[in-house]
Amino acid sequence: MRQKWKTALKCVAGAVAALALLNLFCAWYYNPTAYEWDAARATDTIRTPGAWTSRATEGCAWMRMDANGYNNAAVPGEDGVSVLMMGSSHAEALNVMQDQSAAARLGAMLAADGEAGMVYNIGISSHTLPRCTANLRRALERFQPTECVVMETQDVVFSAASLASAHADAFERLPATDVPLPDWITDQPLARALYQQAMSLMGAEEEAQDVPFELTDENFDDYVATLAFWLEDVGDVCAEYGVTAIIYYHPHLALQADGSAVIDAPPRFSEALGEAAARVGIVYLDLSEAFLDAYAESGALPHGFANTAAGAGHLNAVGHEIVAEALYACLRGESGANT
Amino acid sequence: MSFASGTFLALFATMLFSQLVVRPLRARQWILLVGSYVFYGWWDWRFCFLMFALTLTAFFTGLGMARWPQRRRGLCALGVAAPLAVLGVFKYAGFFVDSFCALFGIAQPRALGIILPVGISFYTFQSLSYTIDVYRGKLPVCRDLMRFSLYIAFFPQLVAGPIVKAADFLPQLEEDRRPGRTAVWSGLNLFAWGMFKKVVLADHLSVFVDQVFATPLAFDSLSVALAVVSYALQIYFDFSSYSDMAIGCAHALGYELKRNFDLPYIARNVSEFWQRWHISLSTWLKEYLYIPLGGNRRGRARTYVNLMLTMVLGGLWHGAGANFVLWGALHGAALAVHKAWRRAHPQRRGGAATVAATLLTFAFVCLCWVPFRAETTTQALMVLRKLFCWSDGVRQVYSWSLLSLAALAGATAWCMRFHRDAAGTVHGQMPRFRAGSFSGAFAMTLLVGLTLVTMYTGGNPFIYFQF
Repeated sequence: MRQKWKTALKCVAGAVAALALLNLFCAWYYNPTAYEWDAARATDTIRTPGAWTSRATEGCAWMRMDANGYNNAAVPGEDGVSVLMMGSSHAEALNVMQDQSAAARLGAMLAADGEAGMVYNIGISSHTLPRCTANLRRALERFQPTECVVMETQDVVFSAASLASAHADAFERLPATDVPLPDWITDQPLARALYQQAMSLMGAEEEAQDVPFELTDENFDDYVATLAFWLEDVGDVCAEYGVTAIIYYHPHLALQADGSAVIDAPPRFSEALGEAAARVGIVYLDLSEAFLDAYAESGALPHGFANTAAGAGHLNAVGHEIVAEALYACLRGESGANT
Repeated sequence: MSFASGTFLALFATMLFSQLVVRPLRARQWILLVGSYVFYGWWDWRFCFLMFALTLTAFFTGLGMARWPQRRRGLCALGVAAPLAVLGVFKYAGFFVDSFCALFGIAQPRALGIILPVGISFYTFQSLSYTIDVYRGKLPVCRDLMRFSLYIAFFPQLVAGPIVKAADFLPQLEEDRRPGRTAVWSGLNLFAWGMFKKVVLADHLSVFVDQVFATPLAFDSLSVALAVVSYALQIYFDFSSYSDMAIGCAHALGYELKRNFDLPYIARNVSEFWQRWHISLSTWLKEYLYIPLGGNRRGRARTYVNLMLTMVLGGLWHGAGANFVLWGALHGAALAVHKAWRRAHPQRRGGAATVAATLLTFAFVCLCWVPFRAETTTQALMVLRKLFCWSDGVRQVYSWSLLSLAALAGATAWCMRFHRDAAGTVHGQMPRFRAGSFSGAFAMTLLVGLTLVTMYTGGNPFIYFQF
């Protein structure tokens, strides 16, 4: 009997030691920081301020969140914010090193020109363009950018329901915590990684997509008018705060059997968004051409990593670089943006 | 019901528990039989009737041969022809109709729409091995339908092998083989390694391989070459993982299945490759096809023809398609060339020549995987063109490919150091964790945890299910 207990104890000790090692491994391999609600609601949620995060599942990157819970090297200093960048997980840029994000690169370019203000990134996962526009006033109020606010989107097909929610600021708030377990468990990287894997297996991450519809010559103007009605608020708010609004669209490139690459979204939707933005004085940057040019020149793809399918998933370092260059050119008045 | 699914784990746990607690042997075997049919019926319950019909055919053919020895030949022919006819209808009818129509320019009226029952190639070959062995007098007739049904339907190896010969398995069913604690532990140990190879290595590799084979012209030559090597690794990890899991499951339940893979990519020539790759199939083809065709007993030319024929049929066994025929023909030709080479150069060389031979064999095997993996001949040609005509494109140095190569190289080095037999031949052997010890619990927890954390969650069926 005593021997049995001894054996059981050895096994338990072995298992606990392995769990500790796995925990360490996960801290390097996949350690997404938890969400918290943003008190100022510049965004629905923020990450745990000051927390370390790592992601070797898609790309390979490690960074510390800033004191506001966003992915920046530091919070804005005395010079304040010149450019505020909003958006989804693409803008949040957890898949590339902190200094490779579009915000960091743009900041470095502007700093080289002697710009004093900071490019501040408040991109957070799941913050689609309509959601960002709904939060826009509070974001501007909180961070007071002096030059412009940049909003990222990978989607240009919007349903009437999401636009109505954006217009009325009536989105249901994103959940603050994504793991329904006690903190002492969710603080463990292993537990978070396992939870994430379980969710992926169950497909729980699949968000409801906006219902696509066919955009024809007949309904094009109506659709543009609907978009303009939504974006009018954005233009008004930006005018009120004295900043320029920029929306940039970064479409996926789909590789074809003949070796070419095409934009996998119908171009009419991007045209519609661009036209609507122009009507209300918002700068619209469609990066389709820039992406196609980069592919044609060097086979570079703006999305995807060495450990995922090429061209799929989040913006990679190349993609962030192209975004930063396009924004820089736009801010310096050198780009072919719509306004 | 895939091995890498929660449903299977629940079924396996039930089977294992029943084998541990139920005492009468017959009751335990009945439970295994019912569980095996549930496992198979999970895909499509109608397949169970097909499998049972094939079981009855082989069973009564055996009884018939025992009852009417003077009609053994005819009964055996019937017992072989019937399963082959079923296999032909389900697996090859569409292919032959398509080929016939294409050859004579006939417009096809409509698709046949026959669903291929999963694992049919495997259990058909098992039933054939029984019939032929009984005919040859190598095996006594099985007179117990339940046990014979369990031999055909035994769920661990049912849908993707190893192909178990009746002579190896039926005698085990006569014995009271209650699984012990050590057997359960080492079975689970092997199962865990198999799961790791499948859901972590093979499935991650599939992401890269699928993309490159779908759009080879978009990638540069280096990436395409890496994708071809990645496919060689993927199919090895995928298929050998199934075999490991099958052997592990069976072991935990108290039964032994023979190994199906033995470090195939360290083979120094194609003949050795087939002694290490899908061993149960190559053994089956040798015993029931190559030797009956005359083997190497009828002169040199006939030996080469027999090798070619065996490998072409082996290719066709994998699937009804010109690509599989080509794959088989390439291997058949290589076997013939190697045989001729051995005849001309009987002395073996060591050192650098061995390394060169191993690399050359690996390169050849990788190239043969191209038509095997490609969905069309055009796709295969595009991949080959990219391989041999250097061109630019997307450079994707896929990290899982490098990691898998490193893992395989490390495992091979470990086996070369610790698992040589008396003749110096290296054998593959998964590390075994010691039951009831700190190190065993540590290693097992680490392996299972790593598998769960790093597994590919996109879902990917075992490659050999389609065969």
